[in-house]
Amino acid sequence: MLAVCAESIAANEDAYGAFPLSALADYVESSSSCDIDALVVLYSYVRNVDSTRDYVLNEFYEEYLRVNGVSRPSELRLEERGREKLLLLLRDVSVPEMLDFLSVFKSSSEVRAERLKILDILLKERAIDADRHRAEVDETLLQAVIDNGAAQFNAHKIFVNDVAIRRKISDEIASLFTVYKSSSQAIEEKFITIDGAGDQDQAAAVVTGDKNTTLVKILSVVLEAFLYDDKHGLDKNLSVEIRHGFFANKIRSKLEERHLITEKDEAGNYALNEYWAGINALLTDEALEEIDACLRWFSHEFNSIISLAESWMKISNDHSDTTRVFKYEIYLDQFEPVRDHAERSVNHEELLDKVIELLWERTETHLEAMRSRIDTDLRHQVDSLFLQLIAKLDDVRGQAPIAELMGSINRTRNDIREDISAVADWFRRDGVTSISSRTLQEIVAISIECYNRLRGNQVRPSVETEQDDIEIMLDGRQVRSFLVGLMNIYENCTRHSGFGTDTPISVTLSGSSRGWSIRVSNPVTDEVLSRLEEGGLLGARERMSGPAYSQLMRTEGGSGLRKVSTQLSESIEGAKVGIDTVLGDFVVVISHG
Amino acid sequence: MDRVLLVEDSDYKRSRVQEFVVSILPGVHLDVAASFNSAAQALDTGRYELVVMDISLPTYDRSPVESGGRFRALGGRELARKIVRRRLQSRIVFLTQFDSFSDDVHSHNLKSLADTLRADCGAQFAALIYFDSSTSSWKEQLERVLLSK
Repeated sequence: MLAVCAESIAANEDAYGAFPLSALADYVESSSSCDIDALVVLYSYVRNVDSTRDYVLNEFYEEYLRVNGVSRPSELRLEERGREKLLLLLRDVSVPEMLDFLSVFKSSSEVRAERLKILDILLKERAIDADRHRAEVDETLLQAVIDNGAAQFNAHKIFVNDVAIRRKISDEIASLFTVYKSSSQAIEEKFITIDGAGDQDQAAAVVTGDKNTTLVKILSVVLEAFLYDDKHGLDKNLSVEIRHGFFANKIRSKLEERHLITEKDEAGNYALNEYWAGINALLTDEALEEIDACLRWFSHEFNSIISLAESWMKISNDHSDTTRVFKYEIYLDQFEPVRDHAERSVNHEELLDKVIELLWERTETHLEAMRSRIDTDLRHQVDSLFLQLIAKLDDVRGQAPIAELMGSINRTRNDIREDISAVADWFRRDGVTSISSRTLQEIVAISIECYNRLRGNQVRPSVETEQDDIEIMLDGRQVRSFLVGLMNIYENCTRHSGFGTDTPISVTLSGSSRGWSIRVSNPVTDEVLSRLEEGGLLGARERMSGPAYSQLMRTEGGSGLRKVSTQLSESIEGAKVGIDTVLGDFVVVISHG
Repeated sequence: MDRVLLVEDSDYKRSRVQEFVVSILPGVHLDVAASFNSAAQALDTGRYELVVMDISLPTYDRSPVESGGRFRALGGRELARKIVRRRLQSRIVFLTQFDSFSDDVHSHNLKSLADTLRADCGAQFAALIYFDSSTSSWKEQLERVLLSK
């Protein structure tokens, strides 16, 4: 049955419903038989029945590659027998979230490079169409840029992988959207209450009926995934990146360095502060006891402040807890715009985009509130605690010289303010919006760096700057599109030159007070050159200058240089993209001014 | 105990644990890994009697050119299962600051996590210790494991 089930799922992913998938998955796990049928069944089981058992799929995937004598999926041989199952393995199973389980990849870039290779194979084998290929290549390039930005430029920690979440819930939302569009609105005066109505007297209720009920279900599915998906959701992010020790460690570290805080034992009693007892050994026993009591009191109070601040960093989607900052109740006034949008949406993806956008808007508001709490409330509480400690010790100081301790407290009080500011800065979105302003030279350098890493240094564009003092700045949002546009041009060079990854690419940057240009050129084979000169270039120019790029991108996915042209001209007003052949080279020029 | 692998991505926690392990076992060979991937590689080559690991780990070592990849909420569990599947003989200690996510309904709490890890690791499970830098109890628990045969 395993083989029949796998065949059926490879032919039609929805066929899983006709099989006892849970029993088959249990059988696979207990038998440890690691073939393509087992993998396909496990994949379908994890995707459709129980995503928490993804670790079993990971392990079988790794084992399957090992048994087949390869270390990475792009090395698998596509034979005619079982071809559909292998293509499913490459297309749907071998995604970045699965590839990063394999020890063979030493960095995120290597994972992305592998996915790009797989996408090329899938396109060649016609297992995906050009639009899907292009869309996923773009997504991969963008992730490389974001990762580069995240590693180099900022310390922002908030990240929800909405791309993975979209992928995960897309089928369910598509079904619900179909139900929504085919339903009629009920007219009876019944109400359904949306969880978390703000004002108890004005419950957030909407008229019941198939449409509203379905829309509430859609919202719930997206909200649940956005907040609580255990791999990609916000709660996981807040938990493991901030609450899970990082916050407490950061705030406590200076205090521990200077021995101002002591540990408590299992009974909750704070230990004697031996360090300061040693430094102040010449004081009377009475003075030492008083100092130690002050430091114990301080340790206890400080830990309480940390616990309180950690409680702010939690999520709530009802009214049960008022200390949490991240609240996601759905109010009636928020439901109505979604309903309007649902009415206008032509497909489930549009609606999904909108709901995720709204969730990000809400999250941005919470992040702002969180930064404010950290930077004002927490800072104030910590500062007053230090002042109270100083006042308590002042009473002791009247009797004993404790200048070293007081100096240490004052230095720590100042230093901890910086740590609090750094923590406040964690509460910003990691990624797209946090890429900072950059000069054109920097953008070109980053685009090459990202592309090199993606292509495993096989392609290394060379750069020449014709004038050193070009000071053109692009803001963060422009930088993102511009980088992806440039990387797409490099990708285009290797894809269409006829030389593959051996294609030498030259980038020349020039500018003056009147404007600037970036010229990307690469040689092409004689065959490619003939095609370009016999109408190919003309056709490409026509496509690039065609109207309504954005609409075409949305409905047709866009392709090649047309997409690049759109990305660049949308990121910088007035930027133009031209193409030509010069002395056997294919040349793309981006110019402005 | 001669060879120990410590898997921990937080510099602060790593240095505290490292310092403590060396204070209890002065001659120990202690390797450290800061991510899921580097730990998996260390396990390929090293023969460790004990692996002390965090539960949540970034996929890759963070560096100026690598943001760490996906943060794996249960990366330590994934590593432990690799150890068992590869039939490595290491005992495993989980040293975590994990309490729970916002809502226990949606994920593990410490008790359910301990049950899961014990079931995954069988006899190789040595302990799940809650690391709280404000207390000393993690040291007492870890010391018992380090000194046990």
